[in-house]
Amino acid sequence: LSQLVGRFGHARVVVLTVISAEFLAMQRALSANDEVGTSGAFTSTGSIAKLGGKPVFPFVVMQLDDRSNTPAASSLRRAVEYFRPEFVLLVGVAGGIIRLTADGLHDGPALGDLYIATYVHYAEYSKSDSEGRHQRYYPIQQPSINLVNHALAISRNPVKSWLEGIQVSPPAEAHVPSIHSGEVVVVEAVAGDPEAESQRFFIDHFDHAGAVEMESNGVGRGLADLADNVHYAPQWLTIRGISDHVFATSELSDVDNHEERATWKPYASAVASAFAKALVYRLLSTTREEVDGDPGAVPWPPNPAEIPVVSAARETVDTEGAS
Amino acid sequence: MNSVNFDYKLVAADNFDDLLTRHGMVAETESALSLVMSKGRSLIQARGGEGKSTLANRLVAQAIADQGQGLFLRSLDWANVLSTSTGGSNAASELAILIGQHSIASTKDALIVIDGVNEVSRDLSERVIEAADLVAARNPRWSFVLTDRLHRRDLALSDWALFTLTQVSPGLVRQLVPGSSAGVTTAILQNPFYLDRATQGNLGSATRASQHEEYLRIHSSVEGDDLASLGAFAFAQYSERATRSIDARQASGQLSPSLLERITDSGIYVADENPHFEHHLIADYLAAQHVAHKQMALTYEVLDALTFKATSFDALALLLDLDSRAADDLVRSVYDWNMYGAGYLLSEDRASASKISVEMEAVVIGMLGDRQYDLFPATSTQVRDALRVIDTDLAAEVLAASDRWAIASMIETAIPDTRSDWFEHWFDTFKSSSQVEHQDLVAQLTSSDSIVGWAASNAARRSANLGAESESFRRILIESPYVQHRWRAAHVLGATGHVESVSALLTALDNDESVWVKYGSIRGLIEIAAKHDTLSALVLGSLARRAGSVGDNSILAREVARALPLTVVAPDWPEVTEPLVSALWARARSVSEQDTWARLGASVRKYAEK
Repeated sequence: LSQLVGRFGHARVVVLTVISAEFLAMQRALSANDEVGTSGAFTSTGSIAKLGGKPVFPFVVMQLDDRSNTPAASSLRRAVEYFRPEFVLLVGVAGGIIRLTADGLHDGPALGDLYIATYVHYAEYSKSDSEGRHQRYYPIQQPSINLVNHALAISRNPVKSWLEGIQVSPPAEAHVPSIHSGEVVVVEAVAGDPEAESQRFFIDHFDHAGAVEMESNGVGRGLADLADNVHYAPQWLTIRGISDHVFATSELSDVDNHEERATWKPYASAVASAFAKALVYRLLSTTREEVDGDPGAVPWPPNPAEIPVVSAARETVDTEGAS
Repeated sequence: MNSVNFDYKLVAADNFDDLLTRHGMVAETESALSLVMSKGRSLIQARGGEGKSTLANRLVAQAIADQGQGLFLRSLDWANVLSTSTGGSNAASELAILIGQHSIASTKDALIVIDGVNEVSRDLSERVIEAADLVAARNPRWSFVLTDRLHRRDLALSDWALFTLTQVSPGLVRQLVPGSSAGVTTAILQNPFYLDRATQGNLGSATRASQHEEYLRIHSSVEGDDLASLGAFAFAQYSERATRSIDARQASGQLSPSLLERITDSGIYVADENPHFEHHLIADYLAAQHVAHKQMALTYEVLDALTFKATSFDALALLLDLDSRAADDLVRSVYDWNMYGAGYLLSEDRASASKISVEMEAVVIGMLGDRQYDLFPATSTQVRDALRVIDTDLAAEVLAASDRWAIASMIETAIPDTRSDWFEHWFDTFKSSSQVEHQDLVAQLTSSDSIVGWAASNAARRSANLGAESESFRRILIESPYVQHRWRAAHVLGATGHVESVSALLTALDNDESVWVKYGSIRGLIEIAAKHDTLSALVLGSLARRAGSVGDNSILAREVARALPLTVVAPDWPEVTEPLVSALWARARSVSEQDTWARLGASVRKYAEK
């Protein structure tokens, strides 16, 4: 029982967002307007049950302390300590890696597409010597196969109802996001210079990675650090909207992607949030079986008609400056 | 535990600025416990003997009454285990095992006190704090209270509750010890440790050291040769073990059976699984007593031993009470070794006997104040903390000073016209412009008077001709037989922008026998890299190639972590420092050490964005 009780209670799903624009998009998507105590976490409903004398929430939404992996690790640690969730979703934007195929075509996710990380590579902190750069490794908890499968199930559903949750118009006409899944490369600073030696290294070295971002390693590292007993093993997943392109070589593009990111970020955030919402409700529709010491969890909301409907009308939202 | 319920209380502070100046809300036990349980972690910081352990014990008692679970651990009790494990993550596992051995269930709320974080080495104390932080995250039903000296820690304040303590009220002191007069004795007895001694044994001595002396005499018949023998043993333990735990076999071998029996029977020596003296202030007194009794030269080695390499300065304050040498000379020796130690000495002195002259007070405050404009934010913050703790009118004024000229003006006003020659000499150097004659500076830097030497080192950094004349300082760094002179020279060379200076500092980093010269050299190198784009790749690449030796030396590793995060720096500072951080990360011996260097990388980027 105690394994699912945090300092503020229990939430089945914790949604972590990176920057304010992403948090606001997620908050809006889930109508998460009520703060749980002084936790900095928001939910759409009051306590729906009690566990160990503390409140139970179906989900909460939190924002990381800052961009990059170190704040992500500390925020994740706090989220788990506060709510002991079953599931953690990291929602935000990423750069899509564009590579040149053998037949000379560009290959990679399009702007505004969705990317599900199945495996996290950490590209920072290698050892360099006269023979070159040697990758070093860092133990983390990898994304959950179970959650990847849940996410892919949503993508395979012919009724693309999650698309209706996208509340921002795409910068390009009539864009319909595709869903990609695969390896992600995690770095510590925004990747945008195809001339940069470090960028060339990680794109070459992790040759199957389709996206690059700055927080998933922190979340995976934080979860690995917290794993200390057999009774508590939260699952996690990264969901990213593609806000810009990171090119494998300057032959593909030598344009700084800063402006592109500024243009696409609001839409990419909205895409990720809409998909995350669908996944949150899918996870909450499952039952957690009762076992000795845990009363379990029943599907929520009891009546699916209670799932908040977000206006399909798209609008332009204010966002923070480009990162 | 105090035998009487003294009237000091916990004070909840919002941040370290407030904590160091004892600002905050007085918290009764219930409300303090509630705050601790909501945050999961808390620090109680105060001076030695001010009652941290007593109030932490009170919190545990309340937690047991409320929740049925509580535990009081001493840092010393698992220092030996920690010193053989690597990293905070391992330490967290060790801590969880230790808590489990005391039958504390993870299914119920519990308060766990870890007492005396300041009683183990700096490295171990940081690992204790990291371990408590992680165990609290893993076990949200457990909350931690750690007791510590007054010292800013690098913590996420959203996750930690901070407390300090009020002092015992003068009225209660006068009531409990009627013989105490207003002034010196009352000030000492506002510290619960000394008040407790006074109420138990009718001791009303004028100094802390004489209280210890009387206490040992009355309770264990320790005086004369016994005191000398026990002092020598305590100092030897400090020197050899760098911790306040005691080797029981050495105690049996080096102390007479009669003496050992008396101090054991009286409880002054606690011969449990981790033998130690009853209170760390007694151990500090004994070690300081030996140094004073033998009139030992206050070398870096002696001062390192007394303070566990500048981790805990309580022994210095007792030395000030005990040593027949002039108080100002003691400050000189301490300043030459560690300016924060001198600041602590001054703060303790001003809270008790005021043996240090007003001129030396001005020197210490002036020199610390000058460093609040340091390139390195960590240094600036630390000297400002030291000035807050000194808590005199001049220290408060200097804290608000806009520059060195303003500080000089404040000192000019504060110190009477009838000044000592040594003070005039120092003040001239302190005030000196960039036009001072080079040879004068070289002569002053090698002065046997440390305050003049360091003032000259600072003045040389401002010298208009430093570039052309830095060869003299390079020679001192490499060739001087005096460790103090080499360190001062390293400090000067950080202000130069020459490849020859880089070479000399690297040579000192590689070869000097003193860790403090190495420390000064690595600071100088990072300063050069930060100020001179043309040298940054050379310097940081050279340091990256030394990642093994730097990372293996805790003092150097810590200084790199303190020095690299800079605000006034080129925008590409995170990129140019990346090879060094990366090399340190790559040679890390544990995952938590990797985390440490990854956090440094994040910190460098964050500071550079400011």
